Amino acid sequence: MVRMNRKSRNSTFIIAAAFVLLPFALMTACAPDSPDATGGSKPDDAGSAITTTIATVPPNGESVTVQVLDNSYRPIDIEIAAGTEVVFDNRGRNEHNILPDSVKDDAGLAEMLATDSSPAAWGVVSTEFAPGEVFRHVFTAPGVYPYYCSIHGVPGVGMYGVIRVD
Amino acid sequence: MRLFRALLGVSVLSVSLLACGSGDDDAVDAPSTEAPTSEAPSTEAPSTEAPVAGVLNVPADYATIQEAVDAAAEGDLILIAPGTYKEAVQVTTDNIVIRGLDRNTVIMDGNFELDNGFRVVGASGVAIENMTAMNYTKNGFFWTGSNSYRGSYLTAWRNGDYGIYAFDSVGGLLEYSYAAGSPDAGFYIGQCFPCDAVIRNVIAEHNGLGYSGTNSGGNLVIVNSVFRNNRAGIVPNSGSYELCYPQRKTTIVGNLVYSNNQPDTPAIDVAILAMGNGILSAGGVQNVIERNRVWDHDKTGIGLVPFLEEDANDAIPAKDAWETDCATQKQLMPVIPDGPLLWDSQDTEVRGNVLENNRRADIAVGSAGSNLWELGNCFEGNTFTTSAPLDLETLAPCGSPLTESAGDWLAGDLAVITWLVDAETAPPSVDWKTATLPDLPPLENMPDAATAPAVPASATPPTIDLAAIVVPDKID
Ligand SMILES: [Cu+2]
Repeated sequence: MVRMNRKSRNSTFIIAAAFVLLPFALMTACAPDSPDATGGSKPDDAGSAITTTIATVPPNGESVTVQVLDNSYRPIDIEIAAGTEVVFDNRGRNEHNILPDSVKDDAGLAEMLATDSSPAAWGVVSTEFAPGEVFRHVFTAPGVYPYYCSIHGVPGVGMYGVIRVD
Repeated sequence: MRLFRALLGVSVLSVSLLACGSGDDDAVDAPSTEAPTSEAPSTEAPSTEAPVAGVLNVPADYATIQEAVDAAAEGDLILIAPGTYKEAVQVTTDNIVIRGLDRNTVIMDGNFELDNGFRVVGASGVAIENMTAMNYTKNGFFWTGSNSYRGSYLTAWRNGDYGIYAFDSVGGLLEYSYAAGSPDAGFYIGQCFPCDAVIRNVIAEHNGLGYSGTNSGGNLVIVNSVFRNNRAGIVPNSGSYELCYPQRKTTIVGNLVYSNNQPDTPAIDVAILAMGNGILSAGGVQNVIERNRVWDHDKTGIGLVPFLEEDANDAIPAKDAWETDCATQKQLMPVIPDGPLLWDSQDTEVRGNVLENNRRADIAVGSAGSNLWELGNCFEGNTFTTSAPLDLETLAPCGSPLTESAGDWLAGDLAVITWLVDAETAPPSVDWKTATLPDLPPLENMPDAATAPAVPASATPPTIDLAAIVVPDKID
């Protein structure tokens, strides 16, 4: 039994991701306000360097990876310094999405991305996040960013995660 | 591998089309049911002179199922009158029972636009009974994160992912149900250990896989069911793309498994690779496959083969970690391997099955480099004609350690690696929205649906008297 090899598509995805992400990075760079989509509190040890719960996170302080599996994000909970890029890597066999808790579905995210330039507006819709694809986002503003996959969960239940930005 | 990429492209394309709302009603035959169609069905409610406490009638009391579900409290029963309901219902309340008054005419219809007929998220004790879900882009019935669940007398027909799907859930019972026309599995239980779940008296046909269970097992029992005319029949499997690997300790007893060579079903890539096999362990370990009747397959009746995983996400757990429960395993740190993983099928017992006319071999074990005598799979008391390797019951008897010197392990080798080549020329997946399915048969109704008391799902599934199960007789 063998699954399809998805590796060779990476360059395409990076190009695609650049198109998607560049505007986000510009927007977030201009919007220093802390997101407060869920009223979540900031972690107590704010200001520390990158600390994560997984050994596979690159130690360079600039980029961390969240594996997107069927149907979970791993690690579920990460803490990063502001300015760090998070790379969401869909390594499952199914499509997923990444939605801030405040939006209901892909359409809600698309609308948010089109109308909201704050750091709270981030994520990727399922049609742009098939198996093998990556989604990159630079978190520039401190805050707590809970997210979930609307295909396989609801906020805080099923397929969900949180990014804590110090 | 090119084929698989191409297939992936097709599947992504079809999903994209769906997202654009292309529900082509004319392209498919509706099942032969006479139910009316409306957003809020105006069908007659059951004759309730006075409201019964704890019973919520749809549409008499609530116009939609979702409204009733949202109003329900633990212990309540939602009774749904015959009609077609174009809803995707989400359930987050524990211990409610949702029941159709007639399995064949209470129809959830996704109209090729809605995702799941029912999705139970993080709620436990939810039982869904006696209805049909069709034309959903994802699943007919879906539980995730549940500590107890039950689906009884359900029909899942022509759904875009799975028919009946239990993920990261334990304490389950799926019974007297039917699933057809899904590209992945008709029935699926995955990512649980121990699962404490039973599948009994179900029928799966014309799916990519009749049953699939990735990384599931531990008191997981599949009995007295029929898996026919899928690409492949019963396929427990391991992989690091879901958590709680490897697949282990699933017990498969007393099933009829036949003619799983169906070329015109929707099919994910793995279903195309597995095509032509009755019961196929793809990297599963410690399974028990006993007293099934398995016939008419192009490849194997019962095959124990490896799963080769490219781009794996963690190392394969050592044998001494196989007892680790799923919740504990989720906390472990992954170690990304340098190369692909070979998940061998190991320590599985194949006993007392009756097999015939499985063209490559009735019973088989294969690998892609491992020594078969070191994998611990054993075969005993089966009625069969052919095996791979030859004389498999002599080479690999149950109850004593296997040895290299038992015989010629290479004679008649399964050569499972050639299946990759076969998959390149296998019939490609057919769009799930338009695949030809058998007419939906009238299926057995739940007894006394209008009056039976509500019994929420139990965390403890029924104990199955496995010893009492005999090899079932053939059916047409
Ligand atoms: Cu998902």
